[in-house]
Amino acid sequence: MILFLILAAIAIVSAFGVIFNKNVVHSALSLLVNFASIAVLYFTLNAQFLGIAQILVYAGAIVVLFLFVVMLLGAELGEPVSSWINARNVFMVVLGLILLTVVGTAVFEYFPNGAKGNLTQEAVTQFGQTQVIAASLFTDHLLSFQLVAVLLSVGVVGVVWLAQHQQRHKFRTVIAVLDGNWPQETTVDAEADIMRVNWLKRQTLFDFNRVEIKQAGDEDVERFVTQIRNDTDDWRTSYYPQIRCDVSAQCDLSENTLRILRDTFAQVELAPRWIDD
Amino acid sequence: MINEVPVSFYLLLSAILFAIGAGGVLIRRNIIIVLMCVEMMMNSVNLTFVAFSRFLESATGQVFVFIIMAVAAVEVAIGLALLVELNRHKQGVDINEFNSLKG
Repeated sequence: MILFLILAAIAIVSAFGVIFNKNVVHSALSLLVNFASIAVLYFTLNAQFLGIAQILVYAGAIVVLFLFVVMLLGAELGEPVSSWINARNVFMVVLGLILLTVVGTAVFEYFPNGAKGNLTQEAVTQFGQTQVIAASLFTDHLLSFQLVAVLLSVGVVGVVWLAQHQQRHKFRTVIAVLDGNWPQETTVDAEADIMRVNWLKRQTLFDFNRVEIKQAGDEDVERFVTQIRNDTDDWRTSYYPQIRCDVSAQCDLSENTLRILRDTFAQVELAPRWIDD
Repeated sequence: MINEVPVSFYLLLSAILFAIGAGGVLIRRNIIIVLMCVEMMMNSVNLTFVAFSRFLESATGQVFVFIIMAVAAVEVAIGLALLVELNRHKQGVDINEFNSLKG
């Protein structure tokens, strides 16, 4: 009983520690203490196998993964918190207390008194506790066991896909080209690290840091600029005013279109013919 | 002496831990802490399963906990991979920042 109370106190205090630590690494270490105390509670409940599994899986793998990601992202410091007591948090605490009341009432009102299973003290002493669990796992719950195997495979594939997706090459210069005579959608110049994307073929926006207008009418340019002005991506909208736009001599844009371009981009370079005019 | 602890004490402890975890999910805005609190809630449910497994002398509860542990491991791995990917898009780990479904 004393052991239980001590472990319960440790578990609750460390659970609060997870929430109220400002440093995320300290939170992760509190979580470790919480998992460890629950593992010891498993031992007191005669579930030695699960206690070991808890330490291996939670304390060994999950907390280490958390710490790894926290340090990888450099996110040790959480959000700046001036005070924990504000209207929203009080509301959340009240919600938590209501949840606790409901769960506690349910526990005491509907306490189950079902039939006893096969994990009796005699079975444990005769076969060993792990063997009883294994017998149950591989007979009654074989389907769930196989579903877990499928889930693990899907998880591995998903994580590998996410990680691969992340390593996609980013070009230093991506040029949005408006050229009606150019049949392709993209070309890549690996030497100069440049990718050219034909907006007239693609018709949707992408991340670019230069614009070349080679062969396009007023309408095309206006549609292009309208798309840019309606763009909601924060990063791109902050970047547009720094972009340089080259207009070739072949296209005959009106003064109005050129004015729109000058309003949108930092620098609009015209090929010599217009300068002569 | 250990056997004197009534099973309702374990259930109450796990209810308290669950409520703390739920409160943490609601209060904190740091996505890593939110994931930790979700793990804590899962753990409290595991504790309930083990307590009932002891009380009803059934192995089923422990089998469930075993399966939940596997699910939790997969969940954390994928959640953190998504978090790293999100962090590349938008700097920071504040969940209020991640409010757009589009790229």
